[in-house]
Amino acid sequence: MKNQNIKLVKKAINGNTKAFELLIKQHYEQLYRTAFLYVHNQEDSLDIVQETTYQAFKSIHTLKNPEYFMTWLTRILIRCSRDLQIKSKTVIPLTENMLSAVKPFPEIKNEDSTMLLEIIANLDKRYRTAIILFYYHDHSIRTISELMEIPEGTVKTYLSRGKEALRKILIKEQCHG
Amino acid sequence: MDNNKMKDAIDQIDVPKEAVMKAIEKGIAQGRQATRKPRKKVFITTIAAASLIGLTLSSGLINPSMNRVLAAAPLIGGIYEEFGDKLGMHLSAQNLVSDLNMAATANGMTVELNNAYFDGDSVSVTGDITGDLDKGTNETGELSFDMNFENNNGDSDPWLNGMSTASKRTKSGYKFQWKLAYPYETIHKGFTLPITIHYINGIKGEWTFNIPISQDKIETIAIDQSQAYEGLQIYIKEILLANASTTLEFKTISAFERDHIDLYKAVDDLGNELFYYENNTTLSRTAEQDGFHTNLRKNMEKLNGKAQSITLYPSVSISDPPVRKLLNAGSFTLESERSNLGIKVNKIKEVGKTLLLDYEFTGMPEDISKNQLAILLNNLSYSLTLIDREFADKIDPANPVPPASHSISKNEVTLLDKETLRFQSVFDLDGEDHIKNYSLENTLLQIDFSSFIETKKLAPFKVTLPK
Repeated sequence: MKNQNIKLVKKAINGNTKAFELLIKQHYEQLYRTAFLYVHNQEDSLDIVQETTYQAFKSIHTLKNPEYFMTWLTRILIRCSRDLQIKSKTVIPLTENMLSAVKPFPEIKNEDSTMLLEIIANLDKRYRTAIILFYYHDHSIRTISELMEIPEGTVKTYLSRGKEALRKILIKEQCHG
Repeated sequence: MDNNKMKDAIDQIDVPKEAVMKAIEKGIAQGRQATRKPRKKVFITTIAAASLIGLTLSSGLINPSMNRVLAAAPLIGGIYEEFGDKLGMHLSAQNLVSDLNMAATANGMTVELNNAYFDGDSVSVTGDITGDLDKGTNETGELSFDMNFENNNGDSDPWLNGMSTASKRTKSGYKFQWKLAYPYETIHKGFTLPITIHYINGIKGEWTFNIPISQDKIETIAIDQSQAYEGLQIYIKEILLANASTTLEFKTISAFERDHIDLYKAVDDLGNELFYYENNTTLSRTAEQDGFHTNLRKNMEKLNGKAQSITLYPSVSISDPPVRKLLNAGSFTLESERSNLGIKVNKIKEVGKTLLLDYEFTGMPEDISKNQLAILLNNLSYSLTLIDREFADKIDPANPVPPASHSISKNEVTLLDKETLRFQSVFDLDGEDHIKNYSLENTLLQIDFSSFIETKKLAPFKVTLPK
C-alpha cells in the first residue's frame, strides 16, 4: 500500500469517518465486482457493499496493522457475500443444463469474458473464492490461507482444482460451441 | 490460466458508480448508528487479531436484502432508512412505531419529538430541531446534546452508556435519531421515559419531555443453566423474544475484576449461527463473595422454534497489571504477572535528547509469523512507557492514563534480531510527550503486557431450551 493510503488508514482507525469513506470509495469498483462474482445481480451486490462498509466501519478501530487494510476488508466482503448467499433463498443450485440457460452477465459483450465469468460464478464456492483472490486480487497463497482460514496446502489444492474445473468446462464449451 | 484474461473479464462487469457510492454512504450511516460504546485504545494480540476480525462478521439483525423489501415502507420508515436503522425500518413496516408529536421551546430553539419504538432492549426516539442553532459553539453541520434520562445527572446515567445519536441537516435545522439500550435487568412492556435536554450545541435551555414507550410483545424463555471453568463461571439466565429482536441475558463471575469474559459465538442444534462477536449492554457489576459478577445482555438472531439446544462459545481476555522498574537498575527483567511473557533489558543509553533501550522480548512461541512480528512491533511502540518516579503513584488503575509532562509513551521500535526477538526502542525525550526535569535515576520503565496476551477461547458448552 502506498504511504499516503497508510496515513488514510491510520486516520480511519482513529475514528476519522471522512478518511474511512475516502478509503472505501477508492476501492468501490473492486468491492462491487467481487460481490457481483458471488451473487450475479446488482441489487444483492449493492447490499453486500453496504453491509461490508457497515461491518468495516464498526470494527476499523480493531485493525492494528494499516498495511493489511485491503486484506482485512476483502475478508469482510467475502463473509458478507457468503452470509447473503446462505440467507437468500433465491440461490438455486445449478445443474449443467441450467448453466446454459442462465445468463448472469448479459451486459457483457465479449463472449469469451461472459463465458469465463459464468464459469467462475458456478464453480464450487471454495474454489471460486480461492480463484478470485488469486487471479483478481493478486493475493499470495499465504494471504489467501489467512483470508480463508485454511492451510496453505488446501489453498493450493483449491486453486488447482478450480483451474482444472475451469479448463474442463472451457474445453467442453469450445468443443460444443 | 492467464491472470490478465481473468482480470479483463472481471473488469467488464459494469459498475453502477452512483449506486455503489450510495451503498457505501448508507453503510457508514448504519455504522454510525451502531457505534454504541465510546472508543478506547484496543490492542490486538496475535491470535486475537484473527478473532477480532470476527467482530466484523456479525451480520445485522436483518438480512441485507431486507433493504429492498423495506424500501417501499411508509413515510415514518423513511427516516429509519436514512439513518440506516434496519430494526426501525422493520418495525415501521409492521406499524409498530408510535407517534409522539411533542414539542418544547427554549432560547429560540424548538425540539419536536415525532416517533418512538421499543423492541426487546432497543429504544429509539426521532425528532426535529429548528431555531437559531448557529449561535451555538459547534461547527456548522454538527449537532450535539447534553441531556439526561429519568432523574439522572451528568455522566452517571445508565441510558447514556448505550446511546448513539444520528443527525442530518434539514432546511430549517436538523432531524435526528437517538438510539438507546434499555439499561435495566427487568424489561417492562411499557413505561414513561422522562427526558431533559440541558444544552443543544452548547446553547443552554431546558427542554423536557415525558415520552410513553411500549412494546406489545416480550416473552421470556428461562434457561437457568451455568457452566464453570477454572477461575470463572458463566450463567445463562434467559432469552427474551420481542417483535423483531431477540436478546440473551447472562452473568459472568470472575476472580479478577478486570478480566473480560464474553460469549463470542452461539449456534443452535440446527446449525444456525445466533450471534458472532456481538456487543453487550452491561446491566450491572457487583463484587460478591465468590467474585466479580457482571450481568450482560446481547442481541441475537431470532430463535428457530424447532431448535432444542444452543452451543455457546466463551472467551476470556485476562487483565495483566502493568509492571515497572527504575531505569538505573542496569540490566534487568520485567515479567508479566499472569503470563510467561517478559522483557529482558540489556542496555540503556542516552544519546543527545533520546533514550535508547535494547531489550529482548521473552516467552513468545518460537517461529512467530511475519504477521505476528508486525503486530508485536506495533504494540511495543505503545506498551512501553517512561514515567517520572514522583508521579508513578498518581496513575488511577481504573483509568490508567500516564500523567502529562511526566511520562513518555510513544517510542520508535526497530527489530535488531528476529531469532532472539531483540528490539530497540528510541524515546524522544524532548518531544510533545516529555518528562519535566528528566533524569535517568528518577525514571521508571513500565510495560503493559495485556496487549500481548492472547484472548483465550474456552471450551464451548451447551444449554438446552425448554420445550
